[in-house]
Amino acid sequence: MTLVKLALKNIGARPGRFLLTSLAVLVGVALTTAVFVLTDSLRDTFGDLSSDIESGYDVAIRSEIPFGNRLTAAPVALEIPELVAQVPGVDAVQPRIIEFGVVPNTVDGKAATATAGPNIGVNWEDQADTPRLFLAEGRPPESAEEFVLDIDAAADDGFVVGDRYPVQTPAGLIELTLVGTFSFASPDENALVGAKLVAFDTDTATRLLNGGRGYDDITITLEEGADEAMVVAALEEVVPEGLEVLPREVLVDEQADNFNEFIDIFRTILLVFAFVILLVAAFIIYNVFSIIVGQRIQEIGLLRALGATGKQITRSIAVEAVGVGVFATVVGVGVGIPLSAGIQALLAAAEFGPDETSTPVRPTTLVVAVVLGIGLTLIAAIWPALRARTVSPMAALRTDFAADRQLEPNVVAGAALVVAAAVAVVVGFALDEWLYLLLATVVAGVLLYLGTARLDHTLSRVSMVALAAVLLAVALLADLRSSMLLALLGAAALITFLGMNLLSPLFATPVARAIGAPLARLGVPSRLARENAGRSPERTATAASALMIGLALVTTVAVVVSSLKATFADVLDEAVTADWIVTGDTAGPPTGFSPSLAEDLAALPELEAVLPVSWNQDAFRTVVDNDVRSSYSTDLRQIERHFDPDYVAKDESLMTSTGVIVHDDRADDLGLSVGSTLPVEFVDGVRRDLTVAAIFSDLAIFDTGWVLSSDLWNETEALPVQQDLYVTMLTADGVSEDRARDAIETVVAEFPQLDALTKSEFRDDQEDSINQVLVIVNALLGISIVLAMLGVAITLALSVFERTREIGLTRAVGATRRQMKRTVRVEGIIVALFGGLLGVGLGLIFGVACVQIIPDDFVSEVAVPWGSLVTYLIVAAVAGLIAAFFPARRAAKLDVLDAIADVG
Amino acid sequence: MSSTPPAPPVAQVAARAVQATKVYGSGATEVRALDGVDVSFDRGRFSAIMGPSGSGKSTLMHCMAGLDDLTEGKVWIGEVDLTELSERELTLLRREKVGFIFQAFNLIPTLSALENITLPMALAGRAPDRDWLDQVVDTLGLVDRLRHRPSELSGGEQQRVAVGRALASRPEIIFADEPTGNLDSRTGHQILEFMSLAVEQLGETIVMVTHDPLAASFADRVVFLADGRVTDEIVDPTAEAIIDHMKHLDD
Repeated sequence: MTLVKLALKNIGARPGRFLLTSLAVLVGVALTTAVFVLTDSLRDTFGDLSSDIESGYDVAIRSEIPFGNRLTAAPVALEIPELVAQVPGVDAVQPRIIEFGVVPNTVDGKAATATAGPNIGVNWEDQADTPRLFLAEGRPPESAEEFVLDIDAAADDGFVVGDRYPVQTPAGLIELTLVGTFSFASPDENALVGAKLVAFDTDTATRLLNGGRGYDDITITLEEGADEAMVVAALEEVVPEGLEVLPREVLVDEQADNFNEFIDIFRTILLVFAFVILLVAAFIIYNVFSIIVGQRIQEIGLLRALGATGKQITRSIAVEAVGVGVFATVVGVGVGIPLSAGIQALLAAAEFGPDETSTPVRPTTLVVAVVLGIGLTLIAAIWPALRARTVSPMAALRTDFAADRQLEPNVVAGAALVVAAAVAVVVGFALDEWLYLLLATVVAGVLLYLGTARLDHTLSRVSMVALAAVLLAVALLADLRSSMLLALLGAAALITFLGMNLLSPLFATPVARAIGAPLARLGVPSRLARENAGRSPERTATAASALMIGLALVTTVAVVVSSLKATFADVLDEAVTADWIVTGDTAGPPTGFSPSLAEDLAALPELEAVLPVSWNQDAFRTVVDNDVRSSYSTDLRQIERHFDPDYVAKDESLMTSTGVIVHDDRADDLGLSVGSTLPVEFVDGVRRDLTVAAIFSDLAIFDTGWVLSSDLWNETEALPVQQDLYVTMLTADGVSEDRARDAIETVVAEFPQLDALTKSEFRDDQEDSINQVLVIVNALLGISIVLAMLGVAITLALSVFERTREIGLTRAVGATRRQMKRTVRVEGIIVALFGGLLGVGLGLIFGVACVQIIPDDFVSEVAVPWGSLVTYLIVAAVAGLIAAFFPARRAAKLDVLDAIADVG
Repeated sequence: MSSTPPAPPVAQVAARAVQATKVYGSGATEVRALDGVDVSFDRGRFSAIMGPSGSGKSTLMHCMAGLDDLTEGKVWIGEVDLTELSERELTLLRREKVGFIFQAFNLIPTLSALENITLPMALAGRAPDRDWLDQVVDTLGLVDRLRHRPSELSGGEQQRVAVGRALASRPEIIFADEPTGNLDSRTGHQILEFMSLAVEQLGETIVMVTHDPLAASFADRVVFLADGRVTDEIVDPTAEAIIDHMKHLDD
């Protein structure tokens, strides 16, 4: 109990150090908490929205969905509502139509696109007992000439009831009169979360949004007192095969699941960054506790002499770690909740999510925060704590005593652990799942270290980095799924980060001296700094480790992104032969646009070829293996004028509406060659035989490996209408680029959210959006670098504290305060540059490996952004300088006499 | 293992070493800090070990106190053979039977004087004997300093706290390593008087390592060490007798 008290008193004695040590974990926990609270709040919001969307009815009828989802489902035939209205117990029948990418244009010709949600078109529900749309102004749409708009969308872009506006629909650009506005789900409050909603009367919606092919589904309200089960049974009798009757709850859940899928992706991405921060935090904790144990070696020796057992010593340090962990967790959660509210306010300002913030704190959130905050701190502090128990009582009596870090050799235990490590690797591969492989190999790294530490000290120091090198080699050479290879790369990186802590002290001294060599010419203070940095390699190495991780990740991302850009440029040069591309803003989901645009473009004399390309998510199922395939569809015969897909074999005569073009890998898998018949099933459940018209080998453009004929979709009434993803064009002979641009823009102007770009403009555009992502990623990784800086600052502060006497002596023999400051600052720069060089070097290796591992369809060309790497090193040096600010001030402020008298 | 079993320790002997040998390093760098030392210290007596620097006096103390292990030979505290004990048993033995007073006062800076005094008992998880504790604190004149932190105490007071810590758990034997080394002569004198008092009035056993003849003169008996061997001893020494003896050694 006394040692627990002692641990708590140690915390109390140095509150500043305690706070700094906690800060990194605190930030990690705060961010994790904020992510959980935020995403739980979004779940609640979208859960509410889901029940709003699916409200006002009891049961629904729609096409069975053999694969894919609601949005790709086959339409419900037009005569069905009449059919089901006859069923006893049915009160009201409301057909529904919903389509994305329906956008009204404003008076000044801009598209009223929703910035934080989709643009949706629906039908006005005039038959439902309790409709979802509540008229705010004007009247409901009653003819093919009219539409209504949600009240917020109308206000945002100045739409006036009574005026005529062009509306983009799958059937093209139609000019309609705005006859009213409405609010969604409630007459008082428009419950749309960032979306913009347009409504037409049901017939018009059917024609404009579904090509007149039918409805998306039909909702039914039962008569009061009707027995739902009986009515459902009766409905199932009546409706033709291929339709299903579902209770409302099923559709609500389906909606919520759809939203949650996106929220989960969002959560995962944010958690990755929180994890990086916590990883850096773990290294800082490890670092600080190692130093604390080093500083207290005499005190620990004394306790041992007085009869404290090794276990008691370890426990007292663990208690201190728990103190740090508990504090960081409690405050982290406390900060995380308002942080989440802040992020929600920002999102609300960007018109995403509800205006009111909510901060639901679920038990999961708290469990995760506690496990991460306290667990991680304990894990990171356990090594120093275990090391402390090897301190001999003789340490109390000697001043030159260092903790004995070598474990007693134990061949049996060592060999057993090494074997266990090997087993972990084998199990990791056997489980054949990337996450397990990652975890198993990281565990193997730790086991290998523990095992080799009992066999040979030097061997143990290299063991982890050696294992990482082997994993990296396997990742580069083995023929496994990409996700498995990336898991190996991730494991190699994690093990390297751990292993570098063991290995880098071996070369920290010469490297720190080498880095300091040019600085040492600046004078005695810098020379002293160089010596100080080189003097304690363990400390320099651990201090630099957190910075190393941060910069390694930033560098990896930079290498991958610049390779991505280089690859993209290559693809455009080689695989695209068209001159122009018309495509939508890249932000947001690809919603597509009306095929009428391509028709209008084709009419231009300035262009000689126009090729619209559609994207079909979950387009069909190959019967032989039941796999669902996503596909592109276009005019197959025209492909070669616009793209070079690298045909291996082709037969133009087969490029009819039932023709299909296949990538050679898929063709190999399914044993297809040109002329083969491929039985497939579409969402309407009908089996059709396609004929392989060509086999291609370059996935750059048609990355799913499948291209269908757009005629197939156009000719088949039972399939949903397709919109275009992009249109490519060739300029006619003798027409200048400017003339072609003028001509194209007159057409594209009707679709203001679309841009007509030349190949090089398109490349710049894409590079811009890649750069935007890079900026966001770097901003998030930047947090980890700031925290790493904190790690360097703590180390410097502790080493100033430890060298109090020495600093006093240096001052006594005539060093000025300014020189003292400079000594600490230069040491900071050297330590940071050491971490920076390691980080950038490792990042370079991981980045290049990553590019090699990612399939060539995405990234094939390695491009190293040397300029950025130099910038990162400068950032590291500056970080070191900033980190040294307070420690330097402290060193300069020390009173000379007190410092000399210091015996600690 | 010695082939002839050593004689069983005598009851009134508090600590004893037989053929104690401690070797550091090997080959050319071999240093024999202890070279077959036979010595015993009686219960209820104040003994001193003297010798020049490098004579092995501190090493002898460390080995007899179970802080360091011997290369050869045996040491006992009471009837316990320390060379037979495991690391954990040694730790428990130090906790239960041995008290220490160090040269550098070696107090835990974050604990109060009282907490420092009761630390060994707290480590063992047992409550201090109230009456005994009061008596020790009273004898050492620390009654009104108990709440203070070491940094708020003078050097003499700090060392009195260290003496108190050694006495408080009523150990079988207290080892003191140059207890006055860091004190001025007047304060050092005071500490030595306390230690004598502890032996005479409280019946404690103290073994003190020192190179100061004046300090050694407080002991009932002085054992002289040189080059890792016992060279001589004086019973009921005076400072003059010790100085004479040392002069004699130098010649």
